[in-house]
Amino acid sequence: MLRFVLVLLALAGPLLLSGCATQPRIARTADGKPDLNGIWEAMGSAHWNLEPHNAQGGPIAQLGALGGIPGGLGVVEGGRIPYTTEAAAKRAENKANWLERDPLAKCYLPGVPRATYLPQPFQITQERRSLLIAYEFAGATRIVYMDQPSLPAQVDSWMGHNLGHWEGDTLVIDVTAQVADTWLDSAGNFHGPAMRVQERYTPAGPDVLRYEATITDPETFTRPWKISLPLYRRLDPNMQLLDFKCVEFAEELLYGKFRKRPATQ
Amino acid sequence: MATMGRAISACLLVGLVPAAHAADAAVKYRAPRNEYGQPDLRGVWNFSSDVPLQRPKDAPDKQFQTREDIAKSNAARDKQIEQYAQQGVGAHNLFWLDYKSQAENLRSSLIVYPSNGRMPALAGGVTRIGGFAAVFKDVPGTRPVRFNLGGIGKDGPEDRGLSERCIVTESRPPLTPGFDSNFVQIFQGRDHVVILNEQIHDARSIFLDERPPLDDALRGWYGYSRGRWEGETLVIETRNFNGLTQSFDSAGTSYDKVVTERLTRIADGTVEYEATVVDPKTFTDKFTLVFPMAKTDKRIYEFACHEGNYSMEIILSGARKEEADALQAKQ
Repeated sequence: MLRFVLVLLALAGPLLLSGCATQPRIARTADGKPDLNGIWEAMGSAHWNLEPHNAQGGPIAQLGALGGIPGGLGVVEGGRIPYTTEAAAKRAENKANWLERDPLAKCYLPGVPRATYLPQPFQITQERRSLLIAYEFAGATRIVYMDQPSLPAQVDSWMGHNLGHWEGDTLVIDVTAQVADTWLDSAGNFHGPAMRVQERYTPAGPDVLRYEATITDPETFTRPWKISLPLYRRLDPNMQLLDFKCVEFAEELLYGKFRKRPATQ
Repeated sequence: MATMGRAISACLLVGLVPAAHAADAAVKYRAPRNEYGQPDLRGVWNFSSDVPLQRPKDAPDKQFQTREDIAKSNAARDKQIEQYAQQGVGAHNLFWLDYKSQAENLRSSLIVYPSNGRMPALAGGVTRIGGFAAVFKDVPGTRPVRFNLGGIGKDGPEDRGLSERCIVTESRPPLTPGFDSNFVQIFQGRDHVVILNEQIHDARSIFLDERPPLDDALRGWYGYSRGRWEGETLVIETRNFNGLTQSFDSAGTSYDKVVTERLTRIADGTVEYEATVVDPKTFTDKFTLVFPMAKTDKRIYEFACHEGNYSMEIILSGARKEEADALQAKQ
């Protein structure tokens, strides 16, 4: 009998171990899905530039080192974004005119995937039939419908039309119908109106998600391409999103030239 | 467009309008449970209301009205709205408005306390500013502008109302029905609830895990909320408002305001919303308003106000042009 048990263990052990290795112990909802409720945030400098980049000084001299832009290893699979020739030229133009063109400077909604790796937290509220993802930046939100795979987008929007489903423990969100006005980072990387994004959120532990986004836009890129980075749960005691209603921070930039008097007077 | 409708609605409803207590109905109704075992409040709710905020001064004891009363006042209001719609660019006609209750409410006012159905008196030194008077013409005032629509001038964006700047609308606690976009979607997570306002895409998180209130130095446009379940009722207490908005009904500042909201599902298709506001710096007494919210299968769409706020540029540049023209005429 003992020999039989040992044989069973010998045969099943590797399988059990491999199962443990691929399924980290995570919180689950009543229906067995990973419980993603909580507040998450990316680390690193993908928001500055998705591609590998060296540190550089910032554009505002008065900020000195405080305004410096840290380097980053890059989060693009293969290292480079596969722009078409025309789109690469536009990216270079965007980069040269960053502050004038970056929609985030104007406090515009960030779009997907950029919202995910901004250096500000976001909160997932998880229901069986839908999710709400609320971002601190600009109070951006998006509703993800989990039970309506064929729901058509009624209108283009800044945060897109979000349809989700589960593939095992991975939350998959297909994002379409985003306006072309959003960027992908602060280095001029951009997209066109035909962009489709497929996001994949996979638990890599109780407090870490592996985030992948595949971007398809034949008018801008020569092939689909993918970014991958971890997202971390904010473990601060009593963590919550705070207001970052940046409209008032951007009013001087947008409307300063129309003032009756300079703002300093 | 939407903000104009809300402002008109708030103004028209003031002095006329509130609903019935949920307690009795709630005893008989037990809400279905969600996947976390909580009473299920999920979904999109329409809190449009054709009941005025306050009861008529000459009928302090008339707590309820008839369906005929409501039909009559709605017909008069429809006519008034169509007249306003003729007054210029930006005014809404009935096509754009959505102010009629989707769940029947026979109360004669939204306010149920004070018992005469009217707003309590203002505290000493507090004045009202904004409201209907500011919709069509700027009103005298100083920065910060705490009201929503209209403004105190056109020297800079800070002279305009908060809705015109796409910062906030009336949908901050307490919820107040307006003439359009009266939609919230409630999401329920494991340890928190989120109330998503359609207007300005504001998501208010209400934590249910008995965490302490935020430090007094932390202030938000919608305040910061904590919640708990009392049986069938979600109780939300919100404080830490930033004081850059009015307290309520065009009066005071929100800085010391404390709002306690009670959301109770009283039928498959109805949530009763009750809110009590305590703000002794602005009002001499607390007040409570009640109205039903109706379940709808409609969706909430993105409300990207600031991104398309061409009006602000036009308002300010128009004012500069007028000044330049006036200067030239003098020379």
